[in-house]
Amino acid sequence: MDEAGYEKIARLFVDFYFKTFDENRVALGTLYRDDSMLTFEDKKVGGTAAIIDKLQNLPFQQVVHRMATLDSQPAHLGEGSILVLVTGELQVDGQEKPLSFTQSFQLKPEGDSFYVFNDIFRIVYPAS
Amino acid sequence: MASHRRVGGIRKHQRRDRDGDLVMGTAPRVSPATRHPPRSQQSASHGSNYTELRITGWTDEKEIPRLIQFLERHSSRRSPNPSKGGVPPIMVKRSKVVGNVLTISVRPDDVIAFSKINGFSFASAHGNQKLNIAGTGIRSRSPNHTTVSAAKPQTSETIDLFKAFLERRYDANLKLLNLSSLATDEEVAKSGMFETESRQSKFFPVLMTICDRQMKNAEAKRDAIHSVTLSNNGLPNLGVVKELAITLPEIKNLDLSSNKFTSTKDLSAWKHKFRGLEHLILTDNPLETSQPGWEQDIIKWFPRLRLLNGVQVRTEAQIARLDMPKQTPPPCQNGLWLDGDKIAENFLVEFFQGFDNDRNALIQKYYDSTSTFTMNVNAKARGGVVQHNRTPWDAYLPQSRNLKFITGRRSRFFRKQRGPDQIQTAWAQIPPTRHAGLDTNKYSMDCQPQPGLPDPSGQYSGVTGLMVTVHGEYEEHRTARGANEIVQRAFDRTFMLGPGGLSGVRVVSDMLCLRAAGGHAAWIPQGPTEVPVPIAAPAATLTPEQEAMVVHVCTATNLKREVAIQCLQAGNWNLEAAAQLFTAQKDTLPPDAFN
Repeated sequence: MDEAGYEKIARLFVDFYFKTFDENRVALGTLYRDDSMLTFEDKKVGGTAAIIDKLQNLPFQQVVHRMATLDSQPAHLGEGSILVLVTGELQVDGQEKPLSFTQSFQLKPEGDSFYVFNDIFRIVYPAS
Repeated sequence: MASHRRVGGIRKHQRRDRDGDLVMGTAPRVSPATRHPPRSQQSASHGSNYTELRITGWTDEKEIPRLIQFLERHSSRRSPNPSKGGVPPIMVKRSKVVGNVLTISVRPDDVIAFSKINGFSFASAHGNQKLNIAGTGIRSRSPNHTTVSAAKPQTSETIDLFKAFLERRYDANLKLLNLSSLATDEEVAKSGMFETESRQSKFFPVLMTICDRQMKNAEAKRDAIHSVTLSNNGLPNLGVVKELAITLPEIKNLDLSSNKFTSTKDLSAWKHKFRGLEHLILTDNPLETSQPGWEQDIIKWFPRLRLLNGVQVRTEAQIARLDMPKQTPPPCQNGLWLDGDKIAENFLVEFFQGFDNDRNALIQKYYDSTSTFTMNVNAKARGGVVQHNRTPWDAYLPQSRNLKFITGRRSRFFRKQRGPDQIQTAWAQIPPTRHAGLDTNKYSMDCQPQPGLPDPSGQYSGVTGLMVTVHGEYEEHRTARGANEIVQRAFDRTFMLGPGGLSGVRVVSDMLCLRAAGGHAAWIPQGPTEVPVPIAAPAATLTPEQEAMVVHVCTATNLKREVAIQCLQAGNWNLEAAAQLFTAQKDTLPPDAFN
């Protein structure tokens, strides 16, 4: 795959991920596998079931993601994995101010598509 | 091939990199004068689009590129065309040199910016040289110029007039500057300062400048003027009065009633200005009827607005919340650090030290021909509620690879650095940094293991790789221009570490994201939120002697057991002392302290 291909996949992935996260979080399950790892703030979970459980039981229900920056690199050269770093704002229900987050993903290839191998999410600083 | 194309990529953005000290490469650039000879010859025929200005005072033609950068830098800061996303506008459109005169073509709009830098000193290799800029629309600064000397007495008279006006219009008790009904002010009318439209448009900026001079500093202004009224001035928009937001940015009350604003667009010049404005009056303006829902915009623009036309639009609690650190999700201090052998920790300690002190050595140690580095800047982030000063990202932007905006394949390609040479070039553009030590709690770090990351030869040695994410801040020492400025930057950095290299660890990927610093409140625990000490001390921790004392106190005082224990603890398990404490405090104890 060429360079542009990686970047395109990263963009498609992030758009899909945030849209699904905001609209129907449970559907994110299809993106993880049993060797996937999620770090959400100070909680770490592994495996599809635990990850979806974690994502469904976050302290907020209505969320809107707004992406501010996106970057990607091929990682794991032998395997064709993609490293994605995205930052932006998270508008949470009932909160006047958005939270700022940064999230790093590693996408691993699986057949013709990719799944989330690593997912590290952090709230960083007040955005406005 | 690749290196040849890289040069093209950089040169494309070279104009943005207008800080003269950061010019890439070592060979002196071809003078712009000779670079575009055909264009400058055409300038006469296209003269209607641009205004030509003549720059004199310099001596060395070799310094023309630096001189143009100097002009660009200083004029762009004073340009009426605001920069977009931190990228200053290009001010000098064309240039040519004839003898000792540099002629530049600039947009007519920008002439005023050049007028402001007329007389500036250019730091030439031959000493400081005072530049003289001449051309249509440029005010002369020469003191022996006839019109200036003739105008002088008149100028000081005018200043006195303005001063007197300000004095008359200022109410020290109310801390109010009353600028209402300007056109009908007798003194103003007598002076003729408000007669023509062009004079009207100058009146306010001059008034503001003089107002500014009357006060020592921002604090004096804040103390002296809390309120301004501009009512009854027939204003259709903020065009002639917009300077108010610059001169008096900290006022609390503003009256714009009885003007001719027909929509919130007419007020947009003050959008997000007056950050402390509490009360705004817009009654008797057409917008009240012509734009239903106009209040929404206004409330959004002024974050601390409590009253709009006398109606409460925000509660104190809402405003107080603005200045508080955010609450959810709960802040957390410790990252998950699955780094059994301290590989990532040792790497980071060395990495930040190396990045601050010797980037090239760091690259030699940890980066190889397949390592990739990219960075991107979020120039829009303001970094918290209090910090609104944005320091430009000029040194970083040519490399910023935010894929949300950088869509061209070439740009994306050239902004990705691969291998030590490219990474070294990229890092050389980043100003000097100082990272705090890792032992402080100024970072949030996570580490997740990577099974079977291949070594450089493509072999899977079974050694585990690590994905490391770090969030934190560093000091940027902006000393390149001779300035001594230190700014805080916030960063997120994601590394993929694999086995290999000289040290056993190599960087497979390195991604850096930067924005204005907003503090590290997000991962500092916010004080003790739990109930302090559990009142009922577990009985098991009491010795038999203590247990006996508790029983004694309970019988003697009828205190509840828990309170009795507290009392004894306070008296250091001395019955005498506890009794004294009890006597002293028994009247202040709540009824529920007793059985």
